[in-house]
Formats: sequence, structure tokens, C-alpha cells
Amino acid sequence: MTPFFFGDPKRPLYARYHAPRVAAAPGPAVLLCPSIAHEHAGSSAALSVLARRLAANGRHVLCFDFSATGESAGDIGRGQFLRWLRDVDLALEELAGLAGTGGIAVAGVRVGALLAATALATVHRAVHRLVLWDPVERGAEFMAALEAQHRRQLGRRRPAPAGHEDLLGYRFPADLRRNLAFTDLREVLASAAGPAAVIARSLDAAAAALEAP
Amino acid sequence: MSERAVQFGRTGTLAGVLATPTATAAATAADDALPLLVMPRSALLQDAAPRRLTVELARAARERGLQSLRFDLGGCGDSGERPAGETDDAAAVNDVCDALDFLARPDPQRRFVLLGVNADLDAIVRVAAEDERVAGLVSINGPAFRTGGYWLRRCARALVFSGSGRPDDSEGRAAGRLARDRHAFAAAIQVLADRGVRMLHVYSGGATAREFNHARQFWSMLPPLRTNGRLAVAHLPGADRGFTCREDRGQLYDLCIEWMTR
Repeated sequence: MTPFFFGDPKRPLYARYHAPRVAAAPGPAVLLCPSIAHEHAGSSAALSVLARRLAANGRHVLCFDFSATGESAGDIGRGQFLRWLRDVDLALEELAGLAGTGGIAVAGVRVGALLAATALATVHRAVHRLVLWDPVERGAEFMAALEAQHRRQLGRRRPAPAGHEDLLGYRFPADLRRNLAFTDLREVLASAAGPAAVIARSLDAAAAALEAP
Repeated sequence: MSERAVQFGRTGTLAGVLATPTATAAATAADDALPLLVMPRSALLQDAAPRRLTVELARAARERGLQSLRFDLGGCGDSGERPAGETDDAAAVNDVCDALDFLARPDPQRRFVLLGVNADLDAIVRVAAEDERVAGLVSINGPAFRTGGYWLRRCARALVFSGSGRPDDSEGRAAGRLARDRHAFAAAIQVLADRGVRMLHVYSGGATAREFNHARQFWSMLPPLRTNGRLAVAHLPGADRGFTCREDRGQLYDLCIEWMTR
């Protein structure tokens, strides 16, 4: 695994590149998109396991952190949702450069899946396969669950003032909440002209979907 | 942005990010002798050791002219597996030593401050006790042992708040060998103090309040120590164990950076 930063030098994105461990298999390179906020660390660890497995079977794999999450630069601010969609496009471009020809598959976990599907519906980039691992199907439900967890965990200690932006220590400005709340995976997939999405509920299912010929 | 992903170590698979101050911040700091902050990370769970905490601290330190390395110990996060045959404890110590060797290569005179959260403390204390390059150590939610004063304060608080202010017990206590043995912890601190290592021990509220509820408790929970002013204790009772709120994290960063640049 090789870690590196890429993209805009002022707001670089952090990525882990897993080169094929055996002769490259005849299949697409794989871009992995983790979740955000409190789900980032867990989803990133799960994707590392998936990445190693895919690389061991001859795939080029790139796993990146969305801007202002994980090791990537930046602070969450206005226009964050669109920035995250652009991050997917930047990462696709980076992986295409690393893997050469052969096509690309994309897999995302939770919010990462929602962002990946939304980005692919808008960027018009050829993607061979889209795997959604335990995806957030309705952004509104994710936001509601996050707010409930914030109240449970911190409500007594730090009652949130009206108009507060932080949830579990992560900034969620109004426009980001709005954008997430209005994003519905089924609508996104219905409107997309890209590949049919495969929904996976486990690491094995995600790996099988990505390794299928 | 002046961060660089690096890989180092005896197998070349320890992964980290080296943050270097901007020219302006470095010039403002105007002190070449400032130590380099080294933050090994082992825990995955956010509550135990928030990864983003080390990222934010590195960036806050960089703005104040401090260089830092945050890295994952072998078998954790982005780092590769530990070398076969090494125990967890030995591997963690060797990983921290590898990080110091890597950082000292361009400047053998460089001094370091090691920062550990919770269980990560065991490895950095062992390294700091033996490695002359370590000038300081920051412990966040390290070992704590209940005292008579602890119980008095806890009971008083329970009476005042009629139970509503009882400590959050949804999370665990500090982990690691030192957290189980107050004499071993005291002995380790004494070794560091005798060697001239400066120390900052920070304790939060939240679940940590199950074990620690006042800065003075640090001195009463251990046998008498001769630290010659090299040891500082800070208690941030408003913060929860994971420093979830940004304001609490900001307070923690200011505290650590001011202590390092003092």
C-alpha cells in the first residue's frame, strides 16, 4: 500500500493505493469511497480489508478520504456536498492515471455509497460497475439518526443551541444538511445512465460483486 | 498545505503523515529548537482515540511553527502488519523507535515530544525512558487511580446533582499495563523526570470521570514523586472522553501547543 496526497495542492486529498499483488487481473481497477463523520474510521478500516483482498487478486485499488475527512485537507464549509462529488471525479481521474486502461469500478460504504452514486450520475465518466455497500438510501434518515445520536451522546452535557452546526463534533452547515437530506439513492439510481448498481450487505458480497467477470 | 504521506520502519510499511509548518509559521515561531511532535495511533474506535484529533492537532501545531508526524502503529490503520514474532508491546515500542530514527535522519540533534492517547501511552513511556532524543511526553486520558478525594468529590457531586450529573459510564477506563498498576506508573514517571523529560498529563471529563475528577488527584493517587517542576497536569472536566465537541478539542490543542512551545 502506498499512501499519498493528490488533487488541488491547496486542498489535497489523501489516498491509499494498493497495487496488484499478482499479475493484473482482467478486470476494472477499483475506487473505494469511505463514509464520513463518525462513520469514517470504521468504514475506512473495512475498505482497507477489501482493498487488500482485491489487490491480492490482481486489481489496482485506490481508497481515498473525502475532503475535510480522515487525513484529507480542509475544513467542512459551504458547498461541501458539491466538493465531495467533485472529489469522486478527481479520484477517478487519479486512479485512471495509476491503473492505465482497463476500466474502473466504484464501491462506496454508507454515505460514501450515496456520494459515489450521486457523483457518477453527474460526472459522465465511464464506470464499469457500481457497488453500494450497506448504502445510506435516504440522506434524510442519515441526518435524523446522526442528530438522535448527538442528542443521546452529548445532549445532557452540551445542549445544542438553536442553529448549531456541529453533530458529534463534526460540522454540518445548513447547506450540507439540506443537500444530504434531499438526496435519495433510489432517485439518483433511477436518473443515472451509468451501470446498474449492485447493493452489497457484507464485505464478501462487495468483494464478489467487484471481482465478478 | 504542507503535509506529506510517508512510509518508514524496519519493514517500510509504517504509514504516516509528516506536517511541516508554513514558512510564515516557522518564521513566527523563530525557534529552531522546538521539538517535533510524534503521535503514534493504535486504536480504531473513535471514542478511544479519534484519528481526526491527531490530524487537527497536527494542523494547529503547524500553524504555530511545530512540525509533527502522526502515524499508525503496525497492524493498525494504514500501516502494514507487524513483523512476525514480535509481541504487541514490543512491536509498538519498535515502531515508535523506528519513527524517531526516520525523523532524526536529516537532523540527528532533533528532539521529540511523544503524544499518546489512552493505551498508546505504554509504548511511548518505554521509549521516552530510554531514548535520549525524547524531550517531552503528552499523555491524554492516561492511567488514573481512585483516591479518597475522588470519592468525596464524586459523592458531593451526586448529592448536588441528585444523580443527573453522574459520570457517563458508557465508555471504558484507560487501558494498558500502566493503567493497571499505580506503582509501575509512578516508577515510569520518576524515571522520565530523572532523565529530564517534561510531561503533560491531560484528563477529560465524561467516562474518564469514573476514575479521575480533579487535577490534584494526580498527585494523591501516586506515591511521592520528585519531578522538579517537569510534570504538569490539566483537567478538562467539560470534555467527554473522546473530545467530541470541537470547542473541547480546540482547548486541548491550545493546551498542548502552549506547553510544547513554552
